[in-house]
Amino acid sequence: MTMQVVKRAAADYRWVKPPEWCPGCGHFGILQSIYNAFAELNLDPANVVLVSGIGCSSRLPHFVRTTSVHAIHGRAIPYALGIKLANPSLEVVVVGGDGDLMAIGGNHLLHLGRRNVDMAVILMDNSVYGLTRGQAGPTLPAGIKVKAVPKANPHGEINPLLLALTAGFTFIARGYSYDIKYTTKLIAEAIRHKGSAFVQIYSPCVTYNNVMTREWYEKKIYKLEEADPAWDPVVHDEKEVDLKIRKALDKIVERDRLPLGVFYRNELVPTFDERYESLYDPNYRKLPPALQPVEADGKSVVDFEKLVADRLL
Amino acid sequence: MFIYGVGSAGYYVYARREFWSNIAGGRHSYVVGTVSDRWPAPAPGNSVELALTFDGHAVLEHVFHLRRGGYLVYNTEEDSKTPDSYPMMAKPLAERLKHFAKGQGFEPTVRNFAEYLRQSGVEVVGLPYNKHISEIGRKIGVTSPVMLARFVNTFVVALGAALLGLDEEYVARGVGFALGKKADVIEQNKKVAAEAIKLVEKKMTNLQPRSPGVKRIFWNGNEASAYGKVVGGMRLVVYYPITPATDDAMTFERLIPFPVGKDAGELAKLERIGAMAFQAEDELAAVAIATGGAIAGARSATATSGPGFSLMAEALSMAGMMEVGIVVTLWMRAGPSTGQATRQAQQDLFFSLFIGHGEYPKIVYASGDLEEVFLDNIRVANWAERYRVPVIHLVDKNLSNTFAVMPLPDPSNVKVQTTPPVVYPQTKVAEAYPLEEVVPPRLLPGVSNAIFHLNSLEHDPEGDPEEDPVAVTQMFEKRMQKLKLIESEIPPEEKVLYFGPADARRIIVGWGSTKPAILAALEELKDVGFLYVKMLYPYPVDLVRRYLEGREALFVENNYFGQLAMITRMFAGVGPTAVALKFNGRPITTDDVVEAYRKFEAGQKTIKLESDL
Repeated sequence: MTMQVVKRAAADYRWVKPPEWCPGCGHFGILQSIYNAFAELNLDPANVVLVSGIGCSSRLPHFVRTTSVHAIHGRAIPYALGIKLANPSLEVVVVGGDGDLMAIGGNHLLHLGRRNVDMAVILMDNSVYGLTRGQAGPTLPAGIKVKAVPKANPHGEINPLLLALTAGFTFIARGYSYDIKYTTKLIAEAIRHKGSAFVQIYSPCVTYNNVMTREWYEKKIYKLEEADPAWDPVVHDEKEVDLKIRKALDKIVERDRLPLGVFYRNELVPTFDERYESLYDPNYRKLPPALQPVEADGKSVVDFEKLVADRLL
Repeated sequence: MFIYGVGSAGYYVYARREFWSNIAGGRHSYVVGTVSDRWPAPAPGNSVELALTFDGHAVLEHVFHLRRGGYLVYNTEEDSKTPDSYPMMAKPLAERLKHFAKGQGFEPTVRNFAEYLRQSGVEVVGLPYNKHISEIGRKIGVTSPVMLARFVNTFVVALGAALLGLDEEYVARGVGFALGKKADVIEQNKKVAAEAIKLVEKKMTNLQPRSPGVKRIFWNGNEASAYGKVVGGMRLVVYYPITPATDDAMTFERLIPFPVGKDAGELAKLERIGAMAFQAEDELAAVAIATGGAIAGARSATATSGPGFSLMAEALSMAGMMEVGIVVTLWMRAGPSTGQATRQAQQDLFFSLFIGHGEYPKIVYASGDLEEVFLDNIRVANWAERYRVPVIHLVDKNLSNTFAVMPLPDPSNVKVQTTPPVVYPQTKVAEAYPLEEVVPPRLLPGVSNAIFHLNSLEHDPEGDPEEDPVAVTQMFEKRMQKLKLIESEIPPEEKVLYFGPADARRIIVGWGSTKPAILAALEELKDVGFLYVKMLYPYPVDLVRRYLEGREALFVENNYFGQLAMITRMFAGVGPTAVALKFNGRPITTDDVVEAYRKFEAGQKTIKLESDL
């Protein structure tokens, strides 16, 4: 029997029920980019797990025809992490908003980066809490007053890419939701990347963020490789790490203009799988926790007396 | 070293460790236990027959724990010290000791307290430890003070062995266990032991080395739990460090990769198989990572204690809603808040029962001794997978720090039961929550060829959000039917156990780690029954009611409220006749149970237990 290679199209990843965001919402562009990227990578929908927390953006998995877990606020990353650790052959992708991933779930983002687990996190950044009607999100700059809150924002903003770089993410990129082609490319690259990948996607909220609008973004954004044709974010040699980090930082901290593209990419850092395999369990990827039989005829596969041998009298 | 040494002579040991919650170098810890030629060795009481002390602080702390006819071994080089000489001694204890000495008309020195014990009928073996150790060192050619200091443990253990009638061979076995098997180290310590033994003329008993005829194991409760996880098929154990839970996960970690048995089916060709132990960034993550692991198909658990468990509430509610089976091994310690991190309590029964917002099915199950801790780990792993609910396995500090030399339990007493995943021949969209199945089919990503949605929101069978009142009612009832299923499938003997005369008019009711103390007390109390409750949710209403009706019941618990008594009234509609409660951070002892029962017989309704060993 010959294996039939199925070539899937973007439409094959569309769930039966249609998306339900406000008309014009930036998230539609991200959803389409995800369909496109999955098709480009020809991912088996039964082997993908899309994981989200709570918020407008976290509804996204409901509109995608892959396996998904719509979890609780702020914890998308640890749920996704558990799935990936238990079965590293799965393609695990996290989506979430700036409130979910940067505020209530910020700690998990930090710790995913330093572990370099091979999965992608897609931040759908609109700087407001849409589902609870427009409070300031953690990426809203200080001094900006969005329409649902009575006064300007007294909190400073988090720069998600700066945080991701510090945390140790080995792929760092930024996109813009209305540029579907470009966002598709970034998401596909993030998924393809070997290690923890982080993609921030500016995704204007047409209902609650009346300041950071489509017009506002489009005056500021530009593409790294267009501004500098020699732009190369890839670490080709370990000796280049510091240099590439400095170059990425230089771009990440820009405020007046907002660069899009891949800022940093380093596949020379061992992934968590590789580290775990070399330190704990040489068969980890061959026989991961989720795929091991644990009993035969009701009897544990582990030899109990051998297990406790150093404790027997 | 001492426990293993005595165990190696063929005896059973049941002991527990008490220690202060502080940073190394502070107040000391101690171990209290019993030695027996039969198992179970009885749980310790409030006094001891033999106290082996290293310093004067220990002598002072345990002055009132020695019984008449017992033995105190202590270092006379500490004779002139007083409570004020020990900066780490608890102030209230120092004051109590000084007050006592004043009342007795003596200065509160170690020497005077030792003398007080002698006059109270305690045999006192006082020796200048360091002087003897130096002399022994000269004899065996060791003079470096650093090396000599390392002999103190062996020296004191040997004094104890001498009093029990055991020779240096058994001390050497203890050394081999505690310090590693290096032959020269063992030989040197054996010489130290032989010399130390010569210093003791008295003998409290003459233990004959014996052969118990069964395989025995030396372990503590944390380890028993970890071994149970390994045998029970847990393959992802996630934790954030917390006392007294960490050693459960860390023992699991130490054991990776595990040896494969001969009957391991398709795995038999492998020598060892792996698993994952994972240290999370916090308990919010720990429980979520474990849940993620279970979604992917691994048996997954997290081990924690009260403060960490508090952070897991939201995720447990989600596991209930999403129908994911995970195990939380909850090592209770004395709260509230940070409380006493290294001390005993059974305060988290209510919290375990009611943790998480909303209403969802779960299992709360408690273990009472090390064999149960081991075997129940297999049970809870089975149930989490079978019923796809969060299972809270209640254990506590007392169990975590119980050290026993005991018969090796037989793991085949509890079968490892798994549910095979559904595998479709071709990829299809599948219902994660079909209404016609109380427990949903086991769909695994990457395994089942299924595309499915799991959801924390109320959902339809396909896992999509649903708020239609009729549909919500159906899904809600379907989920909650698991409680009936759990109640009907788990056999009664795994829910409650009854000990003692069937027709006892009065019974003691308890749960968790008070079991060994209550069982030991039954030997002394006549015509008393013991109703031991293991399944705490869903509460075994009918069974408990059957045992309680027409009887007077004394509930004995390591908490302030009498939580088991309260939930029994709530669920079964039967209340306690009396409650005996202890909340000073120390476990309930055999003597406590006897004392409580006497007061109960005398008509007291609320009995406060305060013993301090």
